[in-house]
Amino acid sequence: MVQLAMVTLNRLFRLVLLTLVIVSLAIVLKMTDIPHIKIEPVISPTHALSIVVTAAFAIGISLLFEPSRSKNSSEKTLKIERLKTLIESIDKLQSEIADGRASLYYVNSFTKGIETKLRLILGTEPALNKELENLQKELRGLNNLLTSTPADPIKDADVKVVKGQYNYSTSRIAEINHSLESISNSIFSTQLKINAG
Amino acid sequence: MEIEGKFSGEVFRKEYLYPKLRACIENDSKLVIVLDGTAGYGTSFLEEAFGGLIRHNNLTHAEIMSHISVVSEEQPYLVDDINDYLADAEITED
Repeated sequence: MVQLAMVTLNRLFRLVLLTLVIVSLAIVLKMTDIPHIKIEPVISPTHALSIVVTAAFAIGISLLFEPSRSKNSSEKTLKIERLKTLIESIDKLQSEIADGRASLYYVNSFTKGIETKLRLILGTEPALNKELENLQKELRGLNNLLTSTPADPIKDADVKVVKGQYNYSTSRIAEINHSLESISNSIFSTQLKINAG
Repeated sequence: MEIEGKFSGEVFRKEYLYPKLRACIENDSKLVIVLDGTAGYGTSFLEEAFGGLIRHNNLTHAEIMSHISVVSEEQPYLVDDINDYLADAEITED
C-alpha cells in the first residue's frame, strides 16, 4: 500500500515537472524570436480551458490505470527477487557438499524448504504451473540423490550416514551437482518467463 | 548399519508406527498418518519407516494398506512414494 502511494506520488511529481518544462519552454519561445513559430500574445479562455481539461484527463488516466500496472510490476520484481534467493540457497548447498559431507537436518529439510517457497511464489500464477511441476519433479530427484541411503549396509555406498552427517561418494557428488545446476537453470528460466510476462 | 540420528526411520517405526498400526490391525480400525508440518523427509527415513514394516515387523502389504491412510497436502507425492516403498519391500520379501 505504502509502495503504491509512493509510486502514485512519483507519477504526480513527474506530471507537474513535465508541465513546468512545457510552460518554461513556452516562455522561452515567447521571449526569443524563432522563425515559423508564433506565440499568441494573449491566450484565449477556450485554449486555456482545453489545456486544463487535457491535463486533468492525463492525471486522471494516470491515477486510474497506472497503479494496477505498477502493482503487477512490483509483484514481478518481488517474485524474481525471491527466486534469486532460492538460486543462492542452491549455490550454498553446492559449496556445502563440495567436501562430500553435509548435516542430516540441513539436507533433509533442504528440498522441502525450496519446494514450499516455490509453491508460494509460483503457485498463484496458472501460467507458471508447468514450471512449478517440473521443478517439483527435479527436487524430488535431488532429494533421492541426497538422502537415499541403502536399507542394508554397503561398504562403498554412494550415501552413508557418519556421525550425524551424510557422506557422499565422488560420483554421487557429481550427480548432485548436476541436479543442482539443472534446478538453478530451471529457476533462471522461470525468472525470465516472469520478467517477460 | 548406523542409525540416522535420534529420529531415524527405524526409531520412528519401532516406537510409534508399528505399535499404533498393530493396535489398529487388532481393532480393525485405520491409522491416519499426516506427513505435513515437518522440515522435510529423507528418502531413507520413509523407506525404513514403511518398508521396514514388511521387512522387520513381518506385516503383509495387504494388512498395511487396509489399515493405514497416509495424508500429505504439502508434498502429495510422498503418498505415492510410500506406496512404492511398501510394494518394493513386499517384492523383496517374496
